[in-house]
Amino acid sequence: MSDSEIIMSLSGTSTKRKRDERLLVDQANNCLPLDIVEELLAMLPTKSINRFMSVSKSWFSLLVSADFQKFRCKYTPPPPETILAGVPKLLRNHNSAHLRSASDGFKLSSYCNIETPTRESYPIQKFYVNNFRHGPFLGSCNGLVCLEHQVPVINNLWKPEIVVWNPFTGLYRKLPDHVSSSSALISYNAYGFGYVSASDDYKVFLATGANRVDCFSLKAGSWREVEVGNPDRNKYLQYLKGGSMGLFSNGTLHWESKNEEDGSARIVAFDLGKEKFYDVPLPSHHQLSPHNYGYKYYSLGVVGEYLCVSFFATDHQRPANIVLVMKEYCNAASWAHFVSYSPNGVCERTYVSDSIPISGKDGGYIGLQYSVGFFATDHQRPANIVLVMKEYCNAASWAHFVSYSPNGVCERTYVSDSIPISGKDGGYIGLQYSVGYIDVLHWINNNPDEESDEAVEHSKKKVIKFFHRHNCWSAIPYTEALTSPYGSTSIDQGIFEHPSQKKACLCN
Amino acid sequence: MSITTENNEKMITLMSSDGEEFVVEEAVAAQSQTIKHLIEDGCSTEGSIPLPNVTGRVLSEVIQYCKKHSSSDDKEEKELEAWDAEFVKAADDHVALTDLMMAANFLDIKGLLDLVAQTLANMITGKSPEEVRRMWNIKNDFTPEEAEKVRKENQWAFE
Repeated sequence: MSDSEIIMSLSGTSTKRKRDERLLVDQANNCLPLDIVEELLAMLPTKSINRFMSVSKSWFSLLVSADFQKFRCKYTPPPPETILAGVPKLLRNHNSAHLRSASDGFKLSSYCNIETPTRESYPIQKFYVNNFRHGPFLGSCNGLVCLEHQVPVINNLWKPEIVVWNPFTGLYRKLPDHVSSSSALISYNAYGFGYVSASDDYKVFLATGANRVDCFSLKAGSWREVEVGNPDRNKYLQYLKGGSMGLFSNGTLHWESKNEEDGSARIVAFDLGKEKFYDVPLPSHHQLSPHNYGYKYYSLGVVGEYLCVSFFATDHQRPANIVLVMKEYCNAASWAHFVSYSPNGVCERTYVSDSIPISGKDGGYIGLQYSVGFFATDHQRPANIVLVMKEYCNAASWAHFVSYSPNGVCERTYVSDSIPISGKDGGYIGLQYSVGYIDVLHWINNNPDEESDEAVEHSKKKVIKFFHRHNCWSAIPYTEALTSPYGSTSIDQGIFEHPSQKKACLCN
Repeated sequence: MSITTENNEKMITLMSSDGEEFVVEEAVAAQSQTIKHLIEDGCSTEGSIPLPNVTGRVLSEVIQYCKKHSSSDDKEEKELEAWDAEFVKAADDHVALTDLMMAANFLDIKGLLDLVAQTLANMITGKSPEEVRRMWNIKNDFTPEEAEKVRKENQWAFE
């Protein structure tokens, strides 16, 4: 297979072939038509599919084809384990320092599969992350994941390497060196990954320390510096700081930002197709509560296809988490109330998960479900509460999904995506949800020789508790990589993405 | 040929590749999108519908499935599931299942196709490429170098 074919199958784009045209391959071999093979293999877990690439050339070309990927995503429900092998949707803002001591490499499997680890589905066995730059994930879109890791060069030197990976197929592509690849010390001010529908292309966005912006086009296969004029540099680029991931929606990457003069909130956006910066309007102040004091600290998200902001405010005389959604992209007047939640006590955090497709019996999607999680002091003690919106933007459809209040302190909640269970007839027969909570169990002394005092202080042993659809709780311990110092800054964002899903997502 | 039963149920005749005739209710046969379209196009009015790709043995199984699934409604879902499980168990051999799957594909019966595909998929999930080749008599047409390369790229899948 040529390189370009790999790209195509990776990015899920290819010249469309009619299914009929590829019937009856293996004719000489007992006549197992390729469309039958396709139906059959689409039901297999990723691991089997990768193994069966060795069966024959026609199986190989079928299994790596973009058509097959699409077919597998769309037509046949992927087996649950495949979905679990998806990626945490959102790992932005996370301090990646905790990955430092992961001596055998970053165990992506810790995120991927909560029950039976499938580390092997990750392409790079040894995965070292530069703590001082950012986390490994540069972005995720349409099920493709863009990540950066460190590869050894000579004399104990490391250099960053960017990989675009399709966890659904196990295929990945290493990008050529970026201008900053020569030095691990150059940090990114901002980064992101997204899809450009006009050119059917995927792009990686990197804004490096020297106020330079580069885009990599998966189609062109090369890096290109984006011309940023002085006005734009002053107006936008200088506001991208701290190495954060752009949130992808509407062909555009978005960053939370603040005006330097008055500290007021703004959204800086970069159109990946036009390669231009612009501002996305935030809700006007009258849409916010009069006593809001948290708006400065809003966080940006995507729910369904819509951009949303969540913030903490005083609403109706008491603190509340409020989520607004922008119903028409870039139309300031279209910001609308999506959900707010005000528990009896103090409500600390909100996050919005991606939409969850609800699948019907025939295997087709019949709707979308959204979930929003809160951390709140409810019923006299801290609790994590998850609500789901069963019908989009229908306030009446919000329903309690699960809440959890452990004996100790409950630090974070995250909600996994729904896991469609495939029935015997190949259709969905139900959904499985898991909700994880992090309980702080006790302090442990984690390699004091290697870690600073600060690190020891922050090391806690944690467990993740899951709520299964069978109404039972089960606990899994953190792996070594996750119990390491600086805590669990990333696991709270461990929302699993269905790789076939079209949306990126957020939580805060 | 189109006859009508006492229940006013329209009957149609299906003919397998080996000349066997099956008289079934139209509602049963119409679970096959292929047959449904043939009926709509008026192909059933003059004699039987020939199905040149399906043998009598396979067709009888397909009809068995369609009968069961046209007479059941949603509340019998559990029972239907159990029936499906028994149904594929009866054809518990990959050759028979492959025949059934090809027939379901040709006749365009989604439920049956998915049922059989899932059964076969479960059968081969843990198998090696060599075992799979043997099951369907597939020739390994990779050169040793290519085979090595593909295997190496997917090494994790063999562990």
